[in-house]
Amino acid sequence: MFTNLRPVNKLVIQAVLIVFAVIWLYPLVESVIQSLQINGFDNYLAVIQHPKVDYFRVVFNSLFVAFCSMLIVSVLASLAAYAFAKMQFRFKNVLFYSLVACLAIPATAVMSPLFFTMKSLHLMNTYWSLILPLAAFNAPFMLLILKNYFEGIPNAILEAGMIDGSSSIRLYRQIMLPLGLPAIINVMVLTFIYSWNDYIIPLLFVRKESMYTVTLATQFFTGTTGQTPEMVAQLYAALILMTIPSIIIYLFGQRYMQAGLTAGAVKS
Amino acid sequence: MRTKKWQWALTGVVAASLVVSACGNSNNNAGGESSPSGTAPASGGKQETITFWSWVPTDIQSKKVIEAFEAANPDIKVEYWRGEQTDFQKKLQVAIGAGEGPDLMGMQVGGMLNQYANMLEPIQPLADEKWGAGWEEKFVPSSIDQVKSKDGSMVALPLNLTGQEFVLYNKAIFDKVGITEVPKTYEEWKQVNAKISEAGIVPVAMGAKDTWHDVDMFVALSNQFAPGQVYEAEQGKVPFTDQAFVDTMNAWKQLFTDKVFQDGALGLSTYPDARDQYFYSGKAAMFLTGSWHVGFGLPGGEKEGTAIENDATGMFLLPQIGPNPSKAVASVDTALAINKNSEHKEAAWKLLEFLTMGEGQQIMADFIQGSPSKIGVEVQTLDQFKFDSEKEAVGVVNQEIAGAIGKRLLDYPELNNAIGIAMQDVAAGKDVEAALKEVQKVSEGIAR
Amino acid sequence: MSGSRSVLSGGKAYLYILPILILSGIFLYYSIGFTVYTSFHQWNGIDSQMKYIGFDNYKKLFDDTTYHIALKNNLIFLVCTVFIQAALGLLLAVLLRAKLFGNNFFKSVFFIPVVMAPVIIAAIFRIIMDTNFGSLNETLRALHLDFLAVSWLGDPKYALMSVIIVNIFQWMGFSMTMYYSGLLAIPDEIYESAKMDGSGFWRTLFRITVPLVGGTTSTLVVLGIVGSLKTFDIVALLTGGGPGRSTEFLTTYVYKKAIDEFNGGMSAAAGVTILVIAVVLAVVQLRLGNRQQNNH
Repeated sequence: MFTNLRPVNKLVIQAVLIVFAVIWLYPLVESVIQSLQINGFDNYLAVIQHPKVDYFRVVFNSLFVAFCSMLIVSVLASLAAYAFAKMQFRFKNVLFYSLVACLAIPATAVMSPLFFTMKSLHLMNTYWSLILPLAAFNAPFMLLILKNYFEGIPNAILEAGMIDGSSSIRLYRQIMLPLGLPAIINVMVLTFIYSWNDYIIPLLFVRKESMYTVTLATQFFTGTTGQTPEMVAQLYAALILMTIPSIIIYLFGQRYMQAGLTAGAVKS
Repeated sequence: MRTKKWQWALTGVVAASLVVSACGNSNNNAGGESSPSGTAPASGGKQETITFWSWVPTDIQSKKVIEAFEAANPDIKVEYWRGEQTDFQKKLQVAIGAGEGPDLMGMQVGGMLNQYANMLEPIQPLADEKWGAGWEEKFVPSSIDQVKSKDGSMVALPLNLTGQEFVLYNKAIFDKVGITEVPKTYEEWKQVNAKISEAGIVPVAMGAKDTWHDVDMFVALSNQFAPGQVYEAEQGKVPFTDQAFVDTMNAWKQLFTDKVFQDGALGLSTYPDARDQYFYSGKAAMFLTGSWHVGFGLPGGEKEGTAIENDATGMFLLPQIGPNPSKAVASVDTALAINKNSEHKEAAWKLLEFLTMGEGQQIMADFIQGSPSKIGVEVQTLDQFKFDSEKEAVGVVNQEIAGAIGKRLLDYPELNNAIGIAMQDVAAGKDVEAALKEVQKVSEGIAR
Repeated sequence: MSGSRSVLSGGKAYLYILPILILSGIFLYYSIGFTVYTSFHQWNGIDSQMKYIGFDNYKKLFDDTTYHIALKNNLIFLVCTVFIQAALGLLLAVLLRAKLFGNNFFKSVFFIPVVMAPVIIAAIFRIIMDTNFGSLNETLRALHLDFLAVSWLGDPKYALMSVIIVNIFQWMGFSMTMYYSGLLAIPDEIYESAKMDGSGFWRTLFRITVPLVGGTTSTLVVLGIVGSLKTFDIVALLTGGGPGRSTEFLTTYVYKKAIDEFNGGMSAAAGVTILVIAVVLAVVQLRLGNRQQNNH
């Protein structure tokens, strides 16, 4: 199917791909064109030098929050996935399903309790108030992915390690983590993206402009500017500027991600 | 090789957690309004920081008005957060529900104020003490009634009043197609629209995606069919299936079937869509909005820099569609309330006083975001308008608001939602009576 | 299937699970508990007092036509996004698997929307999809396809479809990437022999490829179920649930009840139903997926 294609077929495939790519590129190209209206690249400069929204600070905040929740999720989820995939213990299924059940909690439905939690933990106005809930909301999904992948790591390797007398944490470190790296990187990239894109948690817990994230900044631009043609162009420039960092992250992780994404789901 | 990667990752985790805890701490010290260390002095003296959340003042307005306040009160620093209505409502509700939230906050009268009443500081005793008895007479009478909750206690003070339903129009376009008079009746309106359409311009931009705007139309329109009836229905004394409302809905439906409103109006929000993409871009000749827009032509106002910057504009009242004359409906636009749990009530009161009674009231009045709630405050920026028609519009609007037939905002949020949805359904072709029955059903479920 | 048997045993397992349980306990289980508790009370979301009212919120909820519409819309959305996203994703993955010119470029183009915030996607599409001046309709008119230039977000007939389209635009790349890496794991020999047997493109696709990526499909279905039940930002920002109730979702319903109508109790009751639906669907799907794999 994929080798020795006839030229005609190659042409057809290429054509179909191009058609879809054009559709998918259209909104992006449209916003790039819009962002260059009137003042060209000065629109980008205007966003970067905006008096109320400090672009680099905003990007730093989002990077920092997304990075930390990514680390927490990958450590916590891989530890738990290791146990669920490779250990035998009571209540295993109950515990697993009760964690996976949390997969579907919409943040919108639990705004009040989240706020109470944050208040009683005295985490208001700190980065923790963003990092921890984002980590908690992402962890169940990442656990599911990692558990699937870890199950595919042959027991024989672990057994060999056990014969050498390695402790379970050592096996985790020396076998599960290196072998599970593709899936772990995949989980890291996904958690990063989800955290980066989240809107409601920063909205609830951020009060100071110095802690604005890219999504809050985006909403700031869409909500308060846009009256003049220049501002419309700037709005588009802002939308693009807010997206660039996550695209860079994706391009970085892409190589690893593809290996990891379904390695656990497809079993041959 | 692989082990190395892993060790590197571990180092990363440790380093990151150190940074996080460092940041966390530094943020705690910087202090939020709720943390015990929140009042820590910033530099020298005893500077107190208060938080203020609202949707009005807008960003441009807040800059001026808060700077003026801080200049007059050097010992108080104001942290102002402005959110669009939807963001503002969710952020505020969640915070106040947890016994938190800003020291001073914007309140919409009617439904919102009633719900928050228990968590707001009673204003009457404070005002009596600071301003002496009889201070109420300094405010527009109707505005003082509206800042009282259902049980009659006063929990906020009015910043300004606004009314609906107004039409902002582009006089340059009117002139170009030879329209000399603004339409007063439905027939005239349709004729005007036909002329504008011929010139390839969208006549009227309406943002009917917003249920609040639809409800404004309902209240304004129904007062043309049966004056005051809507307030009876609001209190459950008249059913929403009453003929007056059937007529109102039919008239509303006609606005769509007669193509008075642009195609796709139901998918368009009033702000920013209809405003920016249609009216400010010069692609539409009229735009349905509230009296708060009448000052948009002032220097530094929204109009500056738009495609219609050099076009004269004006405002007129919604034309008469029903059997009775068209009248404005007006309410307090922004009421200001102090958080019952605030630790800075004294400072919050100072800002509240500044905005409602003091210099802030004048600054806000000069932006013409709404009519002043304090009696005797005159707008001093009228001469700054570039066009006479814009200056005249302020007079038109203020006169209509003074002669308003009733209030704009209804008391029950679920009723607002139900009416808004029914109107969108009707505009999309649903049977009027079926839609009104659903409103009535919701109305019957309200514990009044 | 070499790895499904457990090799380690003992109480240490709990230590490995403890951290994630603590995090979930504080932020997720507490929130669930609070929501369940609230669902039996009358609460406006603001006052410090709640009033116990038993099952009243649930009774009102199941009696509310808006809730029924939200359920129906969510179901349509779920089915459409899961199937179309998966089908398109698989098709493109298969085409990309041919590794022709510009492969990495195509993959990136399809994946970029996944990394864009819904806030940003919605802002762009609101402008593109405007009835009169949006570039989508302007393009359609220029192509003399005026009858297709509908009111995408302003007509109840099309609004839900438009939301689905935007959602597919955002997430298709995710399905595609998942399938693509799944396809990489399928040995070329299988296809060679299929070719020998004279099996055509579509036949190979349905007879060989689709069954072999069953695991990926199963994961995507779970994610689709969960994702569609959680969908909020994109709907709230595109249509806000309207016109009328034509794009009302369970999450927008939960949101409106709580924030717009100050009915925290009913909002919580609706929230609880989302959780129950999600758990049931996810568990059923996971179980089915496991059984399939075990039979494999």
